[in-house]
Amino acid sequence: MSTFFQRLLLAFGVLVLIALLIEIGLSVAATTHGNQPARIVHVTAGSYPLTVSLYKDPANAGFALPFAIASDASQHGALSYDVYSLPGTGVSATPVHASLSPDPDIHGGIQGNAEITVQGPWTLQITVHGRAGSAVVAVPITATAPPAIPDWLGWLIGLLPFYGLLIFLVTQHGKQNKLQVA
Amino acid sequence: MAKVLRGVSVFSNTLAQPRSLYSVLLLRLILGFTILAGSAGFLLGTTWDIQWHSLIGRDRTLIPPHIMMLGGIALCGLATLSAILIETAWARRNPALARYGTTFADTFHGSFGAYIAGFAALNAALAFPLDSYWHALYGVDVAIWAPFHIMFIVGMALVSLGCAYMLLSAAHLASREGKKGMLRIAHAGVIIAFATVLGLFTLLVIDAMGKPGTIHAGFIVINVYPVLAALLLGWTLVAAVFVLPGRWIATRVVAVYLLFAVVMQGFVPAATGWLMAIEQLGFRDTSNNPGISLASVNWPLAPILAAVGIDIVIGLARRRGWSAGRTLLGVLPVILLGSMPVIIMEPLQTLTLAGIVGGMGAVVSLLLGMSGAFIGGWFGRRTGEAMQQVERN
Repeated sequence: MSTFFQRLLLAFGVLVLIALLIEIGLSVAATTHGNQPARIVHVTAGSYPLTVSLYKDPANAGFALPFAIASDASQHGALSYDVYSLPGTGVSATPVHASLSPDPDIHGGIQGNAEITVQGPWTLQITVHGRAGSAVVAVPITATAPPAIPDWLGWLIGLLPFYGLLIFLVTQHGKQNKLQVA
Repeated sequence: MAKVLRGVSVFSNTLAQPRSLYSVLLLRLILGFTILAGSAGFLLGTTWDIQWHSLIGRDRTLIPPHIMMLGGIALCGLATLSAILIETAWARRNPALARYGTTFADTFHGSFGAYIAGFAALNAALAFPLDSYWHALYGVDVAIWAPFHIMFIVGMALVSLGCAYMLLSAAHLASREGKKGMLRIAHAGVIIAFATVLGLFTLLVIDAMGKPGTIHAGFIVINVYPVLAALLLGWTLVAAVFVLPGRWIATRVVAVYLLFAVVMQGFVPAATGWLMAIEQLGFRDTSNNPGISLASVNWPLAPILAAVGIDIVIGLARRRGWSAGRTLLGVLPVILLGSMPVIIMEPLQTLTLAGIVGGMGAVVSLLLGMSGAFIGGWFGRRTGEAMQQVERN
């Protein structure tokens, strides 16, 4: 393999590594709550009025959707929550249990990340448990994905290691022939 | 002047600590086995992921099976990077060491296998976010024959191939240094690496037994499982036999490959049930944990016949001095035999498949399988002979 091609391969490797680091950074950033919610929804679950803050609207499919839930704790006492992201009709996905933790900024509030895996309509299903019993409310969400690449391009990229393997086998074959001649 | 000598003493005119050939051998052996652990972990994680997808669903990007797969890729990537950077530093201090490795881009020095494994691990890592994107577009039920599934599974199979190269170069160094124990360890590693290559490619080939591998081509229906399995078996098993000394090499590779299925059966159902409880999830279609690993019960068993046959035929060919062509013709039927779909859940799957494709389709599928066995066996011998020559100074 010529030195030029080796350097080209090295440069390509470094670029891929940088792209991966950016992707990891984006995935981590997706789980962090911004300063301002992108959308605030006021809903009522049974007798519990809730304020749901969504930090991405529309949500990015394939990434976590940060959210926060607040309620008037003084009126209802301590509340506990259970949150799921549920795929809408026609979305090929399964329900996902959201991760939750206490919101340090709001007394009695919680924050969490809901996984939205596939583009399309979803709902954030919030179950509230409190003194007045349990109640459920659904907050509709839309998830979008980057524009789709054509199938053939997907396959062209996906078969990259096969090209590598074929080139490798052919190169090895060439080397063997040279060795036999020598 | 710096000079690499046999044995442990290497002297250098620099103040830096001189490194011996033994250090290079030890480094390649330790990091080679680290890469092997990463790729075997990836294989186990992928079978767990297949179980998770089929029974529970792809509920989020960082589910535990994905973490296990990514952990395997990361371990392989870091180990190869360490191998190359450490050997490059050693070769700069002691240029004589460079002749026991391969120079890349006029800058790096290391085992040829480390470069293969490094680039392949990078490719597999890149495939992961691309696969997440593909799922975001098309949903959780994307088939295993999807572009980026193939990209990371083949990528990790190439990591294992690179690992086989790396351990083989360690074996050459061990032989040169007269370290018999390390030679045996390196050879055992090469066998496990070949079994991992076989296991990872098997994950792709399994699907060919069903609908995805059945092609309706107008007047005829054919199945591509025999040709894919024959290509894979011919290439990996014949290469292993030509790489390693001793008898029953192909059989040992397939024994490790079957051991993987046993480990999957022990690990996957238990891990799935345990994590489902933690994540508060339920099964999609069935009410209970089936208690079986879906990959294990679909693991092709016929390769054991091919392995034993290849060992016998090539052993006979060596004793009787057969030509390369005659040896290849000798292994063709046994490779084809090993390429018949036989799984523990359905030992007579070959007949079921023959019933689906019909008489004419079965004949054409077998002829395709024969051509796969020929190409696989031929490339296998070439690969084995080429691997033998790498870094053999």
